[in-house]
Amino acid sequence: MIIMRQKFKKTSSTNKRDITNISSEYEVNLSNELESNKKEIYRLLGNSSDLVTREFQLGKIRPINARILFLDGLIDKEFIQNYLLNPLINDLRESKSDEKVLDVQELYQFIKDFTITTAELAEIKNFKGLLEHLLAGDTILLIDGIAKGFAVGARGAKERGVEEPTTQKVVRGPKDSFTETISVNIALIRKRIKDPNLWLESFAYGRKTKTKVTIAYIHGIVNPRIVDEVKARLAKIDIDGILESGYIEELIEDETYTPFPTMFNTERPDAVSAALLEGKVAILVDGTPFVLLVPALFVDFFQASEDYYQRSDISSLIRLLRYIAFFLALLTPSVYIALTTFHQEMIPTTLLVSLAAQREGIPFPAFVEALLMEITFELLREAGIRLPTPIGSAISIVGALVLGQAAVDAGIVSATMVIVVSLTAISSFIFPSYSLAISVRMLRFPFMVMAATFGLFGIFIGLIILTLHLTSLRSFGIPYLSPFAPFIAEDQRDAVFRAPRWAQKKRPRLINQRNTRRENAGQPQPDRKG
Amino acid sequence: MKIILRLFISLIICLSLSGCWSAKELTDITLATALAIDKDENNEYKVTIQVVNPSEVAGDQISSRSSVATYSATGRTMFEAVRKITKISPRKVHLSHLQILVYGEEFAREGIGETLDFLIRDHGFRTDFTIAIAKGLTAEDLVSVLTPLEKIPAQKIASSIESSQDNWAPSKEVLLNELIESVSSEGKDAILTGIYVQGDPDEGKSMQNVESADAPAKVRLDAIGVFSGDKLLGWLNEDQSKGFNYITNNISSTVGWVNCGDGDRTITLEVINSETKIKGSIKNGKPEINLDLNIAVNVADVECSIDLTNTEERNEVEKKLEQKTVDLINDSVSAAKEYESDIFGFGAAIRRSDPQEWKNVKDNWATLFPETDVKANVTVQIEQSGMITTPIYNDIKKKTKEGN
Amino acid sequence: MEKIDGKQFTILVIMNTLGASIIFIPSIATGFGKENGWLTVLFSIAFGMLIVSMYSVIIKQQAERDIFCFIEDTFGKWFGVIIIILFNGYLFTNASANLWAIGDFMSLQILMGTPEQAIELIIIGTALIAIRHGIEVIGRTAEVFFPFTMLSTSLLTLLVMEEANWQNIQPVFQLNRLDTFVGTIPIIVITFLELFILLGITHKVNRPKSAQKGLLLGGFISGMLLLVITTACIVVLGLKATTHYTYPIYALGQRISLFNFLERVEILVAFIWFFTIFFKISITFYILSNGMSYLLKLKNHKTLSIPLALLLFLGSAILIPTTFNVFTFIYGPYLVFSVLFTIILPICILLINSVKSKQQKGS
Repeated sequence: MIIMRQKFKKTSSTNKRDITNISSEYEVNLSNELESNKKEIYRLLGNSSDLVTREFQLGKIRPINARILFLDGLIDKEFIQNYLLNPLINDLRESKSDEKVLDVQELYQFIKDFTITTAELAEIKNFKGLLEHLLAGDTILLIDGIAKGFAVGARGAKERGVEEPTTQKVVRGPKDSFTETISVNIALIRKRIKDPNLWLESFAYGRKTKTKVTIAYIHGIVNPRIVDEVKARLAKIDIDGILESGYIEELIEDETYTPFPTMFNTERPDAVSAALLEGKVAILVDGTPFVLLVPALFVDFFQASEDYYQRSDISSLIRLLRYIAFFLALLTPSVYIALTTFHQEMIPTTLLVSLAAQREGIPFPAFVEALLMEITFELLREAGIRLPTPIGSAISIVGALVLGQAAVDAGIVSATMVIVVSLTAISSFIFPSYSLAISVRMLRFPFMVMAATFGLFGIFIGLIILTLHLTSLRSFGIPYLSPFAPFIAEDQRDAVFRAPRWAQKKRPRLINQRNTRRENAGQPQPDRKG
Repeated sequence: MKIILRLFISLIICLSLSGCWSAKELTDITLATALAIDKDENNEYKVTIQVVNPSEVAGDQISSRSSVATYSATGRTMFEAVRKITKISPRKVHLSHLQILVYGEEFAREGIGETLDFLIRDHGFRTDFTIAIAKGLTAEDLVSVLTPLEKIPAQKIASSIESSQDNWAPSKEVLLNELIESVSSEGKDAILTGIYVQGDPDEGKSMQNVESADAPAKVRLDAIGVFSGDKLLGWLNEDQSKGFNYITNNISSTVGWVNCGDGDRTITLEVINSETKIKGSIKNGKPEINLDLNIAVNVADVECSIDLTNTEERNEVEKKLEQKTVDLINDSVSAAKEYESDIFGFGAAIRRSDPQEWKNVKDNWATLFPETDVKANVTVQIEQSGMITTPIYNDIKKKTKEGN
Repeated sequence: MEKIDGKQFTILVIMNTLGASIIFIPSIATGFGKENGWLTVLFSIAFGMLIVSMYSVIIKQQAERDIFCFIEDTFGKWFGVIIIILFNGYLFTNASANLWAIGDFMSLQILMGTPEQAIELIIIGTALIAIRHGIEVIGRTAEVFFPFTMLSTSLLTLLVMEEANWQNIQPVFQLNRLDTFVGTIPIIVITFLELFILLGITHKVNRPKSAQKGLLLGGFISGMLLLVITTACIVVLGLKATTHYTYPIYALGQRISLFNFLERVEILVAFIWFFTIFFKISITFYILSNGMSYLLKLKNHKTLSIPLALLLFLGSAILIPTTFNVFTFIYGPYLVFSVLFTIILPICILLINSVKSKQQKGS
């Protein structure tokens, strides 16, 4: 581990040197001459074919050359035509002020003050700024004879609209989800929390991608130490590119060598808002609809946002079901192996006789049989996810019906095994969070090995090691297994069970230490007088 | 941490590769459901086990092969004999699903004490099997009989002992702990339920026995066998066995009938609850036992004319049943006295209620027991009369008379 | 600085008390007290609590000091070091004896045929992981397993009550009166005396007051649990069977039956004991590794953990080669060690400290 870290440091420092060389090249100021500026831009972008430029003249009497540059596809062309080119070419030409001959400086000021009517406008002085704006999708306006330029914000890249979430569906609850555009995502949160204390801080990470990363939190609720910790960890990021929030997650999580996710990801704005209200920090990354939430505890992965929209008794039972499913998904195959190969005395006689009858003629030991079926199932699942939807469902039919039935008929696996594997599969689909489902899928196999070696004893040893590992984990300083270990009685109201809204008077204790009160009204009482 | 993890993972891998010491695949074991213990002519243990053939019991295609098989082996000790069976049986015998343990009558008369150590010491057994005696035949013959209805004969025997104890009450389900307790502790002697075969046991071994509706050899339950120490002395009859269960508070439900009026017509009562309290004491050097029975009954079958709404007539029925129960108890006690075997635990009762006196008498309890004075005080209470109150017999009688 | 809270400490006390005793106490109690076995346990609780209160006074004197530091402060440099060395020896014997006990039980009852050594190796490996994570993680893990342990214990006693025969505990305290009292000695030795070891982690409890409370409360709760289980064994299994079985609680588990459905779960019951003794081994191991690093002036207790784990593993094999040696071991070196370190040592500590405080007052 230490050696690896050192290696990592070394490579990163060499890259840093590269980048300083290039950026010193960018630091050059714009020149007075339009043509040389244009040539320089083309040179810097390697004559990329999506760089579009249009030259035109400003004014009627003594026209001055000007030029706009933009990257094709990133801008709203209609907008540029109506609100930039039209005023610049037509209005300036007809404008009365033109009667007076302006020098270049005056014209520049005039254009800035009266001609360009867009909301976003920035002045640029050097190539670094120019490139930043150009690559981000702004339109650059350069005027001959002046060593400055404008960056006009008229971004119009094709982007997906707000649609229904695909990974975390609900029956009841909001149906919008985040998109790939960070500004839209922030707006979705702002729409829900109209509080000046919702603070956002943006950074750009990735030497090449310059991805915008924004952290959001509610000042006054959040524990400032967690915000500082998040910022400190983010500041250490030095990577060439960030394409998804998973990059950030791996770079700043507490413990990399764990099957469990220590950061929560969601594409639901309501889930993010709820987390912010609990005092968590959201990390939004441009280019992905998945927003990270920290600190994330083990219990968070068993909670769907719908739990809070349904009645508390229903959601409590459903949560209980999820915890049961967790153990089923984790342990069913290993318990089956342990019982049938080690502890036959635990199975009722009639059941054991029928199990034995099924196993007659099966060529594999129970462990191999289970492994075979589990791997087959994992194959099917992976195939189902990657394939286009119509084929995907066909695969599952083939897998579930044909393969299972045929395997049993052929005497390769026993019918009970098929039931066991199906039960495991169904249970692992119950989790609201895909990232926990994956860890359970993974952990199932070591448990099967332990069961095949030591029976139930092996399983219990596995459970102890698993719990030791879970209790040693922390997510941004918060014990991962809280509120179970350390046990916090107050927080049990939103752990395995969900107490009614009015009973959840406080925010989670460990996450939030300052402003803990969240609900004051108490249980609703109908007006009995009337 | 990393090093530990690596060490541990490699350890686990090493162990799992070389491991599975105690793993037994289902296809490698065979389930024993009955264990029979006899002595052979060389005075060695002869152990017979009945094993299940799973695919005949629960498989998809059921052939005409027998659903159970028996293997027997002899040995100087129990353990040796059991181990020798593995030589004959194609698979390792798994004893944890044993339903019933049967001693041959001859064997039981010589004493069962030596077998108990193995049964409790060996971890292969669970201690939840029923123990019984094969009356009048060897245990081996008994467990070899096939039964028509149940595919696993041992299961049939175990369940019929249980249901007979619960519904008819002449037998008792004795588990290992109880047997050990009564064989080894003071002031109580052991009993075991007897099982016999009606018909020719040899015919019972063939598949014919399960193919015909009226099987040539049937397994039947008998009453209770009385032990002194670890030796079988003799048998109680059915009524005495019932009396035994009344005394030992082991009745959950049974049936009793009494004569109705003066004639030989009967009224049958279903005992739904029976509570017995034993109080023991020593008076003038003689043990005295007071039994207090509270019996609740339902009217089950009236075959005479009686007005059950009439309190007096009801009381009379109750009185008759009380007397009958006292007779049962006395019959049972005198049978036990004959065998000089304190199967009811009267000694233990005295020990409980008068521990100081017990110290004096416990050494010659065996001789003192037959002199025990048993006083039974029975109270019967009729609680419900079934689905009808007035007997249908009255109407039938009337109609028959009118017809005449 | 990692800390555990009072609740976690209480749980560790319960786990430690039950660890060695839950499976042996019923046979010992009935072996001595016969039908009064449950009274034997009751008396043991009474006497045991006295001893535990003595330990609690020591916790107060300890005042957030490490037990080893405290011993050195009390006995002075040279004598203190000798006592610490011997105390470490006691911890070592205790941990390896418990390791042997669980290994023996597992290979006898649960995994027939698996060599004891393999099981012991796995357990000590897991304990190694635990102590390298530190006391905080051990405390929290105990907190996770505690409800399951308690749940199965109460289910074990509740579900067998159907078969209870209360005549088995009669006559109450009429016969064997002397033996009933004599029986408390081994029970106290196995159950309450070993709580002295836990003084090695009291300085990790966030408030010393809650450590004192935890020790008393935990000792009492586990005593009550033992009482309930012993009574259940006597009324359900009967006297003879309880006395004969090496592991009566396992036999009790065989009697569990709910609607003829929840049956044959004795193995799960066995894991009650497994969890409790696992935490006992881990804690003893943790204190041992702390003690050794105190002696050798090492900064981190983890440094010695791997060799110590291997030594414990070897120790369990060498100290007690077969089941029958266990008695020569328990009544031999172990008893001497036990009495020396859990009665004589605390009394000495109390005496010396009271003399010291008087001297201070006098001067």
